[in-house]
Amino acid sequence: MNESTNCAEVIDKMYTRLAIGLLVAAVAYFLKATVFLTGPATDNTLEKISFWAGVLTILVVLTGMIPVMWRKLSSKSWTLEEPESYIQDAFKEALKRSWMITFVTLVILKSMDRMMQAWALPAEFYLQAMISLMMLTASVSFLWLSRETHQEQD
Amino acid sequence: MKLNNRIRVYRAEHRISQAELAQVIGVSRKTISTIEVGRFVPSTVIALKIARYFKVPVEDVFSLSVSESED
Repeated sequence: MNESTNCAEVIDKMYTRLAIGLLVAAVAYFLKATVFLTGPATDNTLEKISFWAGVLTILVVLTGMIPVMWRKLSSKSWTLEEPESYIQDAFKEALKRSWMITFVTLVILKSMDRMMQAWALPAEFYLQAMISLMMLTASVSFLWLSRETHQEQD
Repeated sequence: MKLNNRIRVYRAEHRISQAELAQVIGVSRKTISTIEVGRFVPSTVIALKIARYFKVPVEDVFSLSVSESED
């Protein structure tokens, strides 16, 4: 049986690629944040690595999105006809967990604001770090939820 | 309350793989495998499609088990 003909498999693959893309993007944002902590000697290297990580993210996400978009274009259906899927539910659950972890982290950081003023780091550092955390927790949660267990095997 | 299912039993009887059943129902193999092990609770539509494929009432495929604390 050709699995590529199953629309549900194509959509599951898109979500998996999206999660991998989020993981790579999280690394890119983390590297951008570390630029503020390391010396100027490493700035160029980290900037280059984060740039290529960004390019890799776009490629991974596009390779997942294009087959789905192609199917939608060829069938001319733009309505919500996605089949029910465990992977889709896992992705929503991962985003929920990511939002909760980010929110709790922000509340903790808010309670440490005096200490943070002493560190004298720019706001951009915190923005990059929080975006990285949000993407990392979403992708790791998804990859954990969508893992293949021994019981599930055919 | 736990949702039990006999999909694996019916699949063995019909000699059909998870991927083949998934293709017929219109879901992914992962969805079928997670329903089988109880990690994913399917919608009524999917439950009815599975029962219809095996030509049995939905209650034969899916059943609820009540724990003693819930009695």
